[in-house]
Amino acid sequence: MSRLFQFVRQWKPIIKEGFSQSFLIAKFLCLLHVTNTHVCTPVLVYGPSMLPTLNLTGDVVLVEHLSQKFGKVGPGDVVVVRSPENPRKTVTKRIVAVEGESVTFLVEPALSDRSHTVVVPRGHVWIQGDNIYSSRDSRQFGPVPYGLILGKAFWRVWPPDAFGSLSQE
Amino acid sequence: MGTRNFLWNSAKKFFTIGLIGLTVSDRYFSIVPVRGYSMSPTFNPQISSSTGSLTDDRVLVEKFCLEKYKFSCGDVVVFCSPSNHREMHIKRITALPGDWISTPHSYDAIVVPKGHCWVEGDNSVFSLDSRSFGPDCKVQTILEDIEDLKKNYFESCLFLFVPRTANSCSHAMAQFAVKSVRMIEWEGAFPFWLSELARKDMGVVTPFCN
Repeated sequence: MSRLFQFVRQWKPIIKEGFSQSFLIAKFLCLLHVTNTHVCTPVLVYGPSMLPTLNLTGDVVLVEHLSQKFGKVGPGDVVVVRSPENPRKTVTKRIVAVEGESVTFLVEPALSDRSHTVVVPRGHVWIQGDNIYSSRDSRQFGPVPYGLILGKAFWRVWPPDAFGSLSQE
Repeated sequence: MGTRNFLWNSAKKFFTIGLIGLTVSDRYFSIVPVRGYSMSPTFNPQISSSTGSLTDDRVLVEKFCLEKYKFSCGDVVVFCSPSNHREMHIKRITALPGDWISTPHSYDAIVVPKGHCWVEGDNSVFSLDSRSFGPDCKVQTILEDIEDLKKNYFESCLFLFVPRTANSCSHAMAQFAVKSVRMIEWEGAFPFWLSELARKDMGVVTPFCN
């Protein structure tokens, strides 16, 4: 019995220290989560649909969420959006029109000159990639609800020779 | 000096609790109040006369499903309205991508596209759901206009669904208003045709001051 007491007395400060360090790590992870979800987060984007603004092989951009929460995202902004065709994927495109505006776009730019005009419904935005020849965007899946926008990309971090703000087109 | 320390410590504690609460609410569980009767009788089974929010049902919402985005037919889900990202709705999923759905307004059947789902409220009579999120939904616009009037112009307003058979008075008045050219006011006495219809609606012989 006294051996049990001795054992507990020996390990108690270490267990306490362990708990307090775990709590510190948990607090840090919570701070990381809140910053990534509600303030700003780096995102790796790749693919040909935003050439020449973003590279084919991959860029790391900083995406801020505050503009989306306050409704300040508008035409000309490069945004990261949860794909309406597959909610596990995110796509990066530029907003061309917001609700109420009418959009005229080329249905098949590589093949014909046929164009189509659409009015963007309430609560939706129209997104298009800068490289319209190789981009799957609102011309294929229609206007996207504003709530699917995750954030606005405002600063490029990688590659280092392209470090700087993503300018308005 | 002691109070400054105390205030700083309390601020740190509140900040920590806020961070942890926000993380748990985003990633694991949160509690959501259910307003409205579109999910009657599952939620809010009785129509309460008081419009206070204390009588609303509260539900526990789990966020683990957002990792895989794998839902089944029959799940009750909370989502942002596609037409207004600041409003949240709670409805039941009745069809998944690839399922066929018969549209209420025509005889066509449509297939639910990839990445989308069809939601309906349990109370099919009074529910704004996938049947009304279509691109040109007039019912949703009318209901939104009524909400706007309620908020800005009327002191109080109760919205009820009354089937057309018991509402011929309002229907006749609306038809009359559409056809009339000038503004007409009645004070104290109804025209005969209106009081007849009102009597029929009430189902009782009520003397109107006519």
